[in-house]
Amino acid sequence: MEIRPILSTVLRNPVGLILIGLQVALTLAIVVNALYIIDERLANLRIEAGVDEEHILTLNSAGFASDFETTLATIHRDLDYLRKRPGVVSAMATNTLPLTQSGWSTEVEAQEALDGRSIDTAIYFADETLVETLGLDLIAGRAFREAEVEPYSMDQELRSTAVIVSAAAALALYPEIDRPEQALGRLVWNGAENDRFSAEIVGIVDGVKAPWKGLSSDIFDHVVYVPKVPVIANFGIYAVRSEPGAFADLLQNIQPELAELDTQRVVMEPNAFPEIRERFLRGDRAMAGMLITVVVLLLLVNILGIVGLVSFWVTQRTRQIGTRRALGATRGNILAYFLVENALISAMGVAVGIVAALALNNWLVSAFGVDRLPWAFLVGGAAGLLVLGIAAACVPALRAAAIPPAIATRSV
Amino acid sequence: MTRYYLWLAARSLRSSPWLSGLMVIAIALGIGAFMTCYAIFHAMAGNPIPHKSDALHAVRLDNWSADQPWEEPNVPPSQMTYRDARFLAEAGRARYQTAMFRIGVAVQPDNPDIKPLFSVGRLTYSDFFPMFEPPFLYGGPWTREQDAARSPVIVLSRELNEQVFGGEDSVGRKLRLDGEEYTVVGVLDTFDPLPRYYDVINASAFGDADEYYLPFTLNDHLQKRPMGNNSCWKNPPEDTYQGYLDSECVWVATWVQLDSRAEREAYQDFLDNYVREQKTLGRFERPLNNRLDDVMSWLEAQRVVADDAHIQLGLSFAFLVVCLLNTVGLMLAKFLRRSGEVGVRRALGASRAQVFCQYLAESGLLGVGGAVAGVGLAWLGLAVVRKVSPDMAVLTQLDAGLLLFALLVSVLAALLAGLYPAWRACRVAPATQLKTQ
Repeated sequence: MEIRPILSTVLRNPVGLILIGLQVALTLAIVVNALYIIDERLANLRIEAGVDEEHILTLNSAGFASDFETTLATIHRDLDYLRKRPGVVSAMATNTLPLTQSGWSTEVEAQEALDGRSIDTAIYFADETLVETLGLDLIAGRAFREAEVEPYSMDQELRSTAVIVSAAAALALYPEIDRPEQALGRLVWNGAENDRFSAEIVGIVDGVKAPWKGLSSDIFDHVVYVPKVPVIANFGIYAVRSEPGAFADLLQNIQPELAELDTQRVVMEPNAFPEIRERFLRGDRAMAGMLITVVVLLLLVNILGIVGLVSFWVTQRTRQIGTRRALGATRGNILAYFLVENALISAMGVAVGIVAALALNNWLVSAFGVDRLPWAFLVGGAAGLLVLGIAAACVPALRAAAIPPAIATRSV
Repeated sequence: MTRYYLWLAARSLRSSPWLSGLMVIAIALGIGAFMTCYAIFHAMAGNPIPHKSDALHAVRLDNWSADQPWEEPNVPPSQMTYRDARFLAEAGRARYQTAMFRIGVAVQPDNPDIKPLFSVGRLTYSDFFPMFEPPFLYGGPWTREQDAARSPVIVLSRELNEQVFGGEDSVGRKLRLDGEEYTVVGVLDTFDPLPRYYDVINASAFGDADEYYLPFTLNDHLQKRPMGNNSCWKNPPEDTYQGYLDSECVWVATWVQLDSRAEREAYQDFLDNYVREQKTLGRFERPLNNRLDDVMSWLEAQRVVADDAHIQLGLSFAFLVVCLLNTVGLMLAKFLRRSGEVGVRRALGASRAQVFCQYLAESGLLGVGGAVAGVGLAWLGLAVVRKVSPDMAVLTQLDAGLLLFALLVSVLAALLAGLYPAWRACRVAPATQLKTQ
């Protein structure tokens, strides 16, 4: 099959080339970039918080009186009740949980000097039941000891002598170690320039996440637990882990039970962890859903466009096709003609599309901090679109091939 | 004449329902996707207080560490220290000014049938009300004198008034919060500026309103910590609540109303002078970097329109363009298929312009069809967004303005798509057509 005559036909009447070519180019640019963003967001949806997600809920209490002693007493009474309640595996007072989008963060250093290695990390409060209450994966060291745990008021500076850190935080803090377990016993430094203090790493937990994702820093995997019971104004904030099967009952009844225990406060609606997770991922899910819809519709519109335009050409060229058939062209020749024509146009579109995709990606990178497009997406998208274009052209091309030679002798 | 063209167009569209349907669907898909994204973007990027958005200004002072800015490049903190905010609010150098932060309290209704509830509200100055103009249902704001006197007064939101007082006029009634009693002086009507520009730092810009407002000066004995963002670059001077108030931690928002350029410049000077004076006391280690942002530039600086919304809008617009390219192809096919008809019309005396107009009318009609179906799709799309993200519900409204915009975009797009095919149709040479017939 000669390509040159087909090419010259295409170039002599470039409207088809422009219409389909532009369509293919724009589609490639959008689809490739959208697929990359979709891939990223779908990966986000698989995030694990590193805690026993299915069985954890949080619960807040706000007292009418806000003095330190009353609030601390309330926290102890509530925890006593929660720990004894059937269906509860364990409970503790804390400040916040992973993925809640709200919490504390600070910078900690690997050494006493302020200008050495340091990382941003989330700070969580925990007591001796930490590992049990959250279902953490403790890969080295030990849990906090009861004697280490102290009440903490917001007016104090946060100082502790022991901490439990996430494996990722340990590796980031001490780049010289190969395995996070080796950070055990090392010191984490904090405090102002003239008032430095350190805490020993007594435990390493794996996979636990911070409350939020940093915009620029990788704080999401950096977690430091301090052995403190937070007494934040008049608040008690509890994390509760239920036995399998008891979760629904707990979620429904725990609030009125605690409210009855002490009427001089408000107990807020409990939050189930799956709900917290759902809220955290909502934006990613919406974005992925929206982009998937656009990609599917885009491909559909493209197929329709190619089928429509090639059909039009077939109708326009019916007589020529009849003539060619009468002069000895086989059905295969006619089919091939239209397929090659379409492939040529699509290929030119794809070539422009690759440039457009890179330009679009450039804009997304500079304006919104999206990652750079990997080549695999570009190549895969281009190949996919070419195949799709040829497949779409098959429908009208087969109809063209079926045109009988006798048509040449007839007038329209 | 136009009516005749429309009649011709309708007839022509009916005669090939399949192709016409395809074109309407292509336009509708493009318009539907674009309008879904545009409606959300439009709501996010809207001006919440058009008549005075130029006058209201968020104030920022740069008290951050000499070593590094709050945020690159040299961006001052979004909020202020308590001491600076309080000074500015009480200096009275602007027409109106307020410092504010959010707090949470336990509300204890007198009525034993109503359970105590936890409620989030705002400590602010009385100027909040004339500045941001929330509508009052009953009563009114407290006064500047009551600010100064630390009067235990409260303004309730409509919602809290309904929960606690059953929605009746509660002005003069008492309400107990965290064990202390306050007198209701006013009840607001629904107050939902979109976005909630006066506090986009501590809550979602599209989230719930504050449930009550209390005089800021009451904090002298309430000693509240903020329910919201708090950032420190160095430790408080001492481990007490007073130490926190005196610290370089930022957690209070400050807004002022400046009605003219001159007022604005004078206020900027006032701020700079204040900071220079503080520098002599060893504070404000960074170079002068005090900012006054009016409402729209504040919303932009705080990136209230989510990046995702920008990306979605851009991609959905590109999708619309692809749909239009598609429509161009389909129209070309449809119009040229009727070349014979054009030949007859031209031979009978129709001018090129008349044929051109006739086909453009057909495109316009397709645009209207696409708009109607597209708005339906956008409505569906927004309903899905509402279902997936209930917290975005306020952003998913299609009002009359948006409907008109959709119609305009759709018809314009269809006319644009019809230009080339109509031109091709009117260039048909009558003689050739008649001969081949």
